[in-house]
Amino acid sequence: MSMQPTIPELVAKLAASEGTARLRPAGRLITAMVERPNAAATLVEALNGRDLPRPPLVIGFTGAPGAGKSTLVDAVTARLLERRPDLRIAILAVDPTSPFTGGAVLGDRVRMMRLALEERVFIRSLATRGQLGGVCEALPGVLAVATLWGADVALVETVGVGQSEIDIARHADMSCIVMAPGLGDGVQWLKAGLMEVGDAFLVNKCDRDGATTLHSQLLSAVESRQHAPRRRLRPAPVGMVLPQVPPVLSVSAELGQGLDDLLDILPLPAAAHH
Amino acid sequence: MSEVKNMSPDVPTFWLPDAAPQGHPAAPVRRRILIGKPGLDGHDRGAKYVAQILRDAGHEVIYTGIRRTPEQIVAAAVQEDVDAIGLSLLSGSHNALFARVLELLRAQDAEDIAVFGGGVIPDDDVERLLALGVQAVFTPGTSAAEIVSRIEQVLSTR
Ligand SMILES: Nc1nc2c(ncn2[C@@H]2O[C@H](COP(=O)(O)OP(=O)(O)OP(=O)(O)O)[C@@H](O)[C@H]2O)c(=O)[nH]1
Ligand SMILES: [Mg+2]
Repeated sequence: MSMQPTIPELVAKLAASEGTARLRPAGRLITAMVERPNAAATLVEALNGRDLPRPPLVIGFTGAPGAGKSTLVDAVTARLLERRPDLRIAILAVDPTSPFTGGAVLGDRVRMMRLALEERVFIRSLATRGQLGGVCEALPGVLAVATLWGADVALVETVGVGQSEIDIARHADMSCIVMAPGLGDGVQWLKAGLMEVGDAFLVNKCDRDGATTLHSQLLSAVESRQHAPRRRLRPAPVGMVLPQVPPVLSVSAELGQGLDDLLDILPLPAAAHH
Repeated sequence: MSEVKNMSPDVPTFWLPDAAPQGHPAAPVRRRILIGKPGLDGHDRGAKYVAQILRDAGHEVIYTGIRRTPEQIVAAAVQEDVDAIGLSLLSGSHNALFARVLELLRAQDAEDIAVFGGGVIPDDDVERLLALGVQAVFTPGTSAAEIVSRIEQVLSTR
């Protein structure tokens, strides 16, 4: 068994590397964050900091299984790369661990293969490993490594969720709830949970029947909530203004429709930080 | 392998992991393994089958889908920091594809990622692939238990 490099060694290696040579130490550091005990504290110490670093903007994409989260993250990233040639994007995609075997098939990447060779994109698949809130326990440490790699924006895809898995709102600056026709009706939107933490509601698969109805149902659910207090599970970043009423947008990840409107509502950093 | 016994009287047998009765209980060390299918033909039944048996043996499988280039596979493997890459092949171009994957791994300072192959591969080519540095080649008829235990065994020595 070969010796594993320490976290400070990997941090130094990453800092000293350039271009595609940064992928290897960044990938290994993420593994360290997931696998090693006290990894987050060790990383903070190695950086002589007080807190784990975070990318300037972290956007969550959550919603029911099959709503099109991965396809949408892929489409948003491709459009963002075009619009903002200065930005680097990390994609962290979470899929479920089997409670029976501890194994997992992490398949979100299948929808993102056109990004595989983009120098400004880093993609990592993560397993929930027993965490029930829709993400994984190591996410803050993984976001920190994404920052060290150079991410200006992180897009976090949760597992396919029900109504009560809202941990993404503890980690993301902005949580997008992805919905699609055929996965529920108007009554679902009255219930507690996801509806309360959404900063934007995205009706994906707008190329399909039922999308217009879903859009108007969502719109009235969102508007009827506009006087209720906005629930935030983490403070909004300084200077970031989110609209009082969360926007409801129709998009088609597959056909690339509505993406510009979606990009317009993202509070993108004014300039790259690296 | 002896039959797996239900140790706790409180747990009904049908709650036990599927994999257990076939002879490979949850793996001692969880590995990350990328499964991909390079080449132009679009059949990924074999790749999906292997992904499933590794998952059921307790490993994390990063499934990348069909028609991947060696460049895409290695870029994904490095970002995902996998312990192994398993490539399923049906077309005849395996020698060049595996050679390219191994070369790209070396260029990324990632030659410690083990490479496995599977598919309809003639015996002569199997020898050639092993000589190149592929760790094992699974041809049709290899049992699920054999595939899992061979991969686990190779990874345990690295
Ligand atoms: N018609 C149509 N199909 C779409 C669209 N977006 C995604 N799909 C399809 O919906 C299916 C599921 O897409 P994914 O992106 O894997 O969905 P997901 O929400 O990431 O799924 P999980 O990660 O398993 O929860 C795939 O077959 C996609 O091709 C869209 O805009 N229109
Ligand atoms: Mg997905």
